[in-house]
Amino acid sequence: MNAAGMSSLSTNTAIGLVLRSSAEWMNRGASLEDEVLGLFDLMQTRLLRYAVSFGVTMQDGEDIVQETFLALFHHLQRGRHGDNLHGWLFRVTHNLALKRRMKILNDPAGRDTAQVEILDPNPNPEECMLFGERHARLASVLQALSIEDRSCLRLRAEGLRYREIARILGISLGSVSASLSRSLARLEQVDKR
Amino acid sequence: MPDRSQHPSDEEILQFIDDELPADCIEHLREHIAACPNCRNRQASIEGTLDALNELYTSEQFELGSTTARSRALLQKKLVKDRKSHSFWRDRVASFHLRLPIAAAIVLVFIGFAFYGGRKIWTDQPSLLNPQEEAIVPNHSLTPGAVRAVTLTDICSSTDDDLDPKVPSSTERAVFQEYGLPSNRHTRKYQIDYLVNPQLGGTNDIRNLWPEPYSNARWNAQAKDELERHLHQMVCDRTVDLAVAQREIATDWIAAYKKYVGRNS
Ligand SMILES: [Zn+2]
Repeated sequence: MNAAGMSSLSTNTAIGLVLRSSAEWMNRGASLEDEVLGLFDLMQTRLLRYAVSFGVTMQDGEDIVQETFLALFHHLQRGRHGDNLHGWLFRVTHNLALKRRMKILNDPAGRDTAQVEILDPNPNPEECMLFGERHARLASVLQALSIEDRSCLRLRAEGLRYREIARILGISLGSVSASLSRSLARLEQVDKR
Repeated sequence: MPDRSQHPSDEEILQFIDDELPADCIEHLREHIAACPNCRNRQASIEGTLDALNELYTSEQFELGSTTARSRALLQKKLVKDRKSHSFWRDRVASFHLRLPIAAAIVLVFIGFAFYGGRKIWTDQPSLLNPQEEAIVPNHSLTPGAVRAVTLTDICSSTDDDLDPKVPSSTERAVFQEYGLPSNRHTRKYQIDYLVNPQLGGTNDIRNLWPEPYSNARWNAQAKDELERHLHQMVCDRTVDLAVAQREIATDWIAAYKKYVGRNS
C-alpha cells in the first residue's frame, strides 16, 4: 500500500524518466502504446483517487481513468508530446469527473446508484472508525469545502505547481494560493482542537 | 524579534513552504522566519496540517486498492482496438516513421494474446500460484481488498456470521477467470473467499474476492475462517483497531494468522 503513497517528488522524477526514455524509444521504434501503458502504471491510482474525490462511484472512477488514457493516446498520436503530461492527465481527469458528477446530480436514478457505492473517500464523521479521530475531523472539514477548494488541496498534494492547478481549475494563480491558504486555516483549526 | 506588522501572512508562509514565492521575496522571507519564533511556529503548524492531510489522502489508498493488472489489460485492449478502428492506413504515408513501430507493436500484442488467450493476463506479475496451481495468498493486483465504511457498532452488533456469503455465479466465474482457473474444473477445490470478510467490513466487490484452496494442509480456507472469527472478536473487544485488522488481513493473511491466532494453536 505504501508504494502507492510514495512522495510526489519521486513520482514526478519517475514520470520524467519514462517520458525521456520513451522519447528515446520512439526513435528506436517502440510504440505509443508502451508509453501510454507506462504512464498508466505510474498514474492510475493517483488519478483514480482524484476522480472518486468528486463523489463518483469507483466504477465511474475507473471508467474516467480509462477514458483519460485513451484521450492521452489520441493526444500523443497527434504528436503533442508536451513536457507536462502530468498536469495534462489531471486536467482531463478533472473535466471528465466533473462531467460525470453533473450527470449524477441531474439524474435522480443516478444519484441513487451513487449512494449505493459506499466507498466514500470522505466518510461522515460518525463513519470514520476507519481513520483515526484526527483524520475524521479533517475529513469532515474537507467535506464542507467547495469542490474547487478540495481540488486545490488534492492537486497540491499530488505535487502539482500552483500554475498547473490554476490551469486545471480555470482560475487565477492568486485564487489557487488564496484557496489553499483558506482551506488550510480551517483544517488547522479543527486539527488543534 | 522583527516588527510585528511585517510578519508574512499565512498565505505567504504557505507559498514559501511550496516554493511558490516570487524569486525576489524568497530571501527576505527566509531571513524573517529564521529570526522570528512566531513565524517559525506558524510554519511548523501549517506543515503539520499538510502532513496530516497527506496521511489522510494516503490512507485512502487502501480502499482504492493498488494498480490492478485487470484495468491495465483492459486499457491495452482498448488501445489496440482504437488503433485498428482509427484512420490507421489513411495517413500512414504522412507519418510513416511513427506508424511503422506501432504496427509492429500491434502484431506483438496480438501474438501475446494468441499465446495467453486472455487466460493469464497477470502471468508477468510476481508468481502467485505455486506450480501445483495452489494460490495460498491472493494476487494483490487483482485482489487488493475492498471495504465499506462501517462503525464498530455496525459490525459488532451484526448477527450475520456467514464469513463468505455466496456471490453471484457471474462474479464467481470472473474471479476464477482472472486467476486463470477454468471454473468447471476448480469450483470444488476452491472457495471464493472474501479477502476482508464482511464481518470486518469487506465487500463483495471483485477486488475483495479470490479463489482460496481447500486442499492446502495448513493455509487453507478453514484456517482463514478461523483468523476471521478471531479478528472480529478482537476488534469488538477493542484489542485490535478495525483499520489495522482490515489492513493486515488484506496485506498478508498468513502473517496475520501467525500474529493473532498462531500463538494459541
Ligand atoms: Zn514573523
